[in-house]
This record gives sequence, C-alpha cells and structure tokens, in this order.
Amino acid sequence: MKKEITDEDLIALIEGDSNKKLEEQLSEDADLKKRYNELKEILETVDGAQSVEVPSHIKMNFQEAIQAEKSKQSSQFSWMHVAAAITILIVGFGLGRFSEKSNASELASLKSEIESLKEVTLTSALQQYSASERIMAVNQIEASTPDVNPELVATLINTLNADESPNVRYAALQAVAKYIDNEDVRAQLVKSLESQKDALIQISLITILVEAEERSAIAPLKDIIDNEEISPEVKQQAEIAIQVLT
Amino acid sequence: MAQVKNGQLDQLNELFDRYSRRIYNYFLKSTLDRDDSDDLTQELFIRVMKYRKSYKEGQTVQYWVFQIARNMIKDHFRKMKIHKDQFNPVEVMPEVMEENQDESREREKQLYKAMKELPDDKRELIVLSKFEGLKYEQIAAMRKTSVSNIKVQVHRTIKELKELYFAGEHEWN
Repeated sequence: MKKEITDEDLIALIEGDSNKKLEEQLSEDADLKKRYNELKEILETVDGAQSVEVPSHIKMNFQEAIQAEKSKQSSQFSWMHVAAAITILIVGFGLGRFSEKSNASELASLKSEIESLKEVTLTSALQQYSASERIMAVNQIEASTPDVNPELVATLINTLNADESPNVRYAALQAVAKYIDNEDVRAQLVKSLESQKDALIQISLITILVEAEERSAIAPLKDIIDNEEISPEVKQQAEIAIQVLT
Repeated sequence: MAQVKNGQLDQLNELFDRYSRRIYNYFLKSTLDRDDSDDLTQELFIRVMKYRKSYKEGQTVQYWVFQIARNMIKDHFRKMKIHKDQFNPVEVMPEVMEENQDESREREKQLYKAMKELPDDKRELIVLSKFEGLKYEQIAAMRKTSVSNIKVQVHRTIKELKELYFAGEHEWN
C-alpha cells in the first residue's frame, strides 16, 4: 500500500532532510507539487521577514537603570569608604603633627599635580582600553573635574565623534554636557550633531542643545528633518527642537 | 555575562546591543503588539540586570536570555489577549517608503494575519524556531520536552499556518 505523503513530510524536505523518493514524486505529481510550493511560500516569507529596529527610548531607559543600579552597588561599599576615610584622617593628622615644613603653597601645588595626573590617566584610558573601561573613564571625568579643561574637552569631543562604541560615545556626550555653559563646547556639539549617525546620540544631543537654548543648532536640525536616512523619532525631536528654539 | 555577574554592570550595554533586536522582535512577533513589546523588552533587560547572579556559567547567554523572555511571554499571554479586531499587521513590520510596497511585503502582511489566528503558544513556537532560528534542541530544552516532539509540533504548526494563510488569501483579498 502506498504511504500517504503528509505536509510534515514536505516540510521536512524543505527544511533540508534528504528524501530522493519524495523529490521524484514531486516532479510527477502536480497536486503534490502545489502543496509543496504553498508550504515553501510560507517558509520563504518567514525567512524573508525583516526585523524591526528597537526603539531608542528602550536603550536610554535601560542605561538609566544601569546607572541607578551602579549607584546602589557603590552605596553598599560606603561604610568601607567611611572607615577608610577615618583611617586616612587619623594618619594625616599624625603626619601633620610631625611635619613642621608643610605649608599652604606646597599643599596647593601637590593638589594641582594630583589633578593633572588624574586627567592624563583618564585621557590615556580613553585611548587604550575596552569599551566598558572607556565608559568608566568618561564617568570619572564627569565626577572629578568641575572646571573646563580644554584638553579634556577635546578628548571628550573626539570620543563623542569617533569612538567605535555607541555606549562610549553616549557616555562622552553626558560628560561633555557638563561644560555646556562654555561657548566653544556648545559650538563643537552643534558641529557634532551634523556628523552623528546613531539615533540615541542624535536625540540626546538635540535635547542638550535645546536645554542650552543654542540657536546655532537650528541649521543642522533642519538638515536632519530633510535627510531621508534619519529615523522618524530623531526627525520628530528635531522638529520639536526647532519649535522651541525659534 | 560572567563579567556582569561579577558586578561589571557596564557590560550590560554590550549585552543589550547584542540581543535587544532579537528579543524585541521575538516579543513583537509573539504578541503582535508594539507597545507590549516595548514594555516587555525594557522589563527583560531590567530582569537580566536584577537576576544576573542566577546566570549559570557555561550556559549560553542566548539560551538564558530567551528563557527569561519565554517566562515573560507566558505570563503576558495569561494576563492579556490580543485585540484581534484592532490588529494591523503593518504594526509588526519595519517602516518602508510607499513605493516599496511590493509583493513580498503583501505576503508578509498575510503571514502575520494568519499568525494572529494561531493559538499563542503555537505562534511563539514559530517565532522561536523560524523567525529567531533557535535550534529544535534549544527549544526542547526550554519547553522541557524531546527534540522529536518539538519537531512534530513545529511541522504541525506550519501546516496549520499554511491553511490559515491560504484561506485568508481569498477572504482578505
């Protein structure tokens, strides 16, 4: 008795299971061939279906959640930090009592040297290490340097424009945004907006420039709206930004 | 993932870059709803961060992440039902310019309309095996069943999908 050919047999063949006998039958039986073609159409449509891009706000929200978790993690070590600080205070007090030579100018000079060393180390870290280490370095800059240092700003802008990792570029943007009151920094961010390709960075840059009321951003914002390759979310932000700035 | 487990949380950004698109599309094609997929994707990565210590070294990250996603989807299906009358297949497809509305896009729309008619667990099985390309072995491990059982289920579901697809072709056109 001839075994009935099921759709499951045909699917197995489409999926790559070898079946010479079935292949021969296909060339002879028009009904069977039709069933085969229908199943093939389904599987080819599934194969050809394109995936949808993840909306950029999901990544932004997740990055905020990571930062919150990091703060939580670091606060768990705060008692150790307090203990370490007390130890340093006691040792420092003891040393101070013994040192007659210490004076205010030496202390200021020492402080300045430590700051320079910190900046050199951070700048070098940005050029050499892995993406996660570069993000840590950028976060350090944000935390440790309240004053505008042209070399550091240049490094951050360079990182924002050229780092291969979008996460590092995003972290660099957040760090450089701290110096937004500086006119040169604002000008460089406007210039950076012209070259950015990542939607997350574009939206963040637009937000920062709007908050700074930087009207020179209007021209690149108009270019964004006219550029067909840019995502609709970014264009929408650019339109809102122009409304706010004009 | 081992680094994340050891407290290097910045590595989560790389994990997000690597898996977010697949996870988002897994949710999108299983739920057929963009808003739900946004929320589920967001929630999944928060869970990955929160439960990072439950990751067992040696396990593939893909398997672990999809297992979390599966649990979330099962939970989601229990709570929600797709509003079938309001479903628009374009919602689960990438945006394209009007002139690119070719035959393959029409077929894709028809496919999603057919998928909408499948029971939730069968639709999810098709998404895992065919859209996300997980091996039958991996799905069998996730569903705690045999590989041959999964293979039979996938084949039966494709057959069912074919019937819905071609029945719909006449009805919808």
